[in-house]
Amino acid sequence: MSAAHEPVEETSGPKIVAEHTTSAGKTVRSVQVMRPSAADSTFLAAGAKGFGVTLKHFAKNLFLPLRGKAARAKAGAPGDLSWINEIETVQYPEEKVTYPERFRGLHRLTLRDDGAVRCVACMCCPTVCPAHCITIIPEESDSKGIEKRPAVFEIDELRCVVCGLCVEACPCDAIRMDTGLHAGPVEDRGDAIETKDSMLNRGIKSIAKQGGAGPNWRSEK
Amino acid sequence: MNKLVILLCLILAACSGGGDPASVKAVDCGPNGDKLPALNVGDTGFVRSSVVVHPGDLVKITTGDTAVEGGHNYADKTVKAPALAVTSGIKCFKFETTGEYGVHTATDNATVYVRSSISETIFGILDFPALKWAFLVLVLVMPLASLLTWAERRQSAMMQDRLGPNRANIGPIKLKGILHFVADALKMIFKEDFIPANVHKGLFALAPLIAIAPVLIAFCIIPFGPTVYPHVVTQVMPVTPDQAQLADSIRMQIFSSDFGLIFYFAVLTLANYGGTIAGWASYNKWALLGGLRSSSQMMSYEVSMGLSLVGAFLICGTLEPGAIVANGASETMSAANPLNWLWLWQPVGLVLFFTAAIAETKRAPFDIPEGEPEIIGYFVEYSGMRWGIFFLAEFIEVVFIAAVVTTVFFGGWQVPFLEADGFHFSGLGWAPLPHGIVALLQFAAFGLKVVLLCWFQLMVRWTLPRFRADQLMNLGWKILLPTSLAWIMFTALIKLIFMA
Repeated sequence: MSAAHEPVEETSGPKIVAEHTTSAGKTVRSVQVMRPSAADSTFLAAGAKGFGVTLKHFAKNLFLPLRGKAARAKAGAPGDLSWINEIETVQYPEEKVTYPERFRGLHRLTLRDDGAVRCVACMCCPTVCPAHCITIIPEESDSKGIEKRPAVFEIDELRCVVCGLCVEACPCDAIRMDTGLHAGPVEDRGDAIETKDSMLNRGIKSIAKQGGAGPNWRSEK
Repeated sequence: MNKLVILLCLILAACSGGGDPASVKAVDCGPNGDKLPALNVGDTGFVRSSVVVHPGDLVKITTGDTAVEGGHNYADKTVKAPALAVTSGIKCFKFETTGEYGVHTATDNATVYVRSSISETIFGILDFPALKWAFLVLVLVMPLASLLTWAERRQSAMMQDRLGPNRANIGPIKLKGILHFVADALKMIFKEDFIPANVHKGLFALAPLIAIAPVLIAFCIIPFGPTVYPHVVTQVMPVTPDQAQLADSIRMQIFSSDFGLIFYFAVLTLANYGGTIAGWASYNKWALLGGLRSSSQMMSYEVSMGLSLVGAFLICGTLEPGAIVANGASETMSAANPLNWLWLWQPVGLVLFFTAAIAETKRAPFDIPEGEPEIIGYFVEYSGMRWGIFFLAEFIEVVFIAAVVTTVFFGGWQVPFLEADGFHFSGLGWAPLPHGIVALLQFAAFGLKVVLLCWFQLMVRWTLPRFRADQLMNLGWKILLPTSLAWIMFTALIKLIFMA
């Protein structure tokens, strides 16, 4: 509203009307007490102004057919804007707001070219995890040149604080949070634990070089 | 709830004047209440009745003279009570004999009868007060109050750029969420009826009923439609209808009495006991605080609420809402003229009454007794349908306040420029309408005015911030009370100087 842009008188404490020193050496100040004006204390003028505001919103939202946020999201022609009301509600399951590109959603584990799990069970992510929600039990890998792989890889989504440190810590681009999904509702706490299989089901193949590019990546490039 | 309804019906039957179908009320006659004097053609006189006479009531003047000439009994005559009977506010009206009935003289046992509007036909059953009350409550009040529970949430959402509840549905039928009130009712009925330890069980159970019953009873005084004459519904109402056309009239007001609106003040005040008793019986400090706040608020605002209507009483010369609607403010204008409704004659009274009445409903900005941010209020210990009854009583009060303001200030069931025989536009002509259509339009007008005023009350509730307790008392005692007293004096002066 326009009231926000009107200059507000800067005051620091009550306005001092008179000041004198008593015989005892004390300073006595008379201050002006702020009382509402007569117009405000009857509530009529301010009330009528308030009715104007609410009535404007009510009428606009009642009679204009296009719902604000949803309509503005797909409004191409500026001529359409006159039919858009101010309702900001997004009707969630049917309509969703688009998340930012770096939104951290449910975890997923990435795959190698041959479809095996990319994780090498280096234990970086459970080490860095501030919520201690990642459980990895390693086992020996049968792939050539790879020492370990996770036998169990579990993330308790109820404990996860969605900080993304596991993704930062991972040297193999094996764990990501770029699914764009929320942790869904569960009826049992155990159901909120993401297993290796469920995270692999969401997995994609990573083209990153296993083990990183190494210290000489500039010259190799 | 069944016991409550039966109790209400009994009270209604007891307090309604015309409950007995066989009652024919004898009245005194003559200018001084003495025996009917000899009547001659063209005679005029006054009949003083022991019951209120309404426009259209059938008044039978019996002289006791049994002389029959040419097969006609000239002694008996039935006249239609003119509007004057209720305009003046006294139970007295003027009659005139006409030549049609010949010349006759009265004998010593002359009496005048005001025929009760209850007759022995099916229309008499329709005119039965309890039936009219059931119609009013079940067809107008309860659906409107239930819809208000949805409308309040939806309207507040619209005012705050939200959508509000719009999901309750039966299969594909959504109706913009109107079914939410059904879902709410089902939820409240099936919820656990929890009674905390240490409550006073009897009073705890009684309090919701005390809160809701007076509001439903108070609806008795509201004239929610015009008097319907079943025999002329398909015809245009003649200027001078005869006895047969006016027979079996159904008056759309359950309880009409001289003290009309005083009855409403008296009865609605009882509803406050519901909140106070609930607060005390709950054995909860917050609830008790809410009950006490409720009492103090009611006491403060009842005063100015009653006084704010005194101006209207002075202008109209009556306390009877039916008479206020039927006659309007001035006798020189038609009651169907919007300029003759009291909003124009009593603007200050309207603002004062509406303010005090909103305070009476205990809703924001006057929701100190409920005080959701701090004490939850007198019903903090209530759950399920017991709480639902408090909730419903609040919304029924909203409807009732809208009905009272409509009746007193906005012409009740009057449609602008619609007389009994059709639309009259001064200087432009007359569009005749059958009586049935006129009555339907007037019913619709009453409903529409009530709905609009309910809407306005929701606007008030969602626009104004709540008062602090001290601001509430300041407004009640230091602003509303002196203003209403001054307004009474001003109205009395105007009445004395210009309308005497």
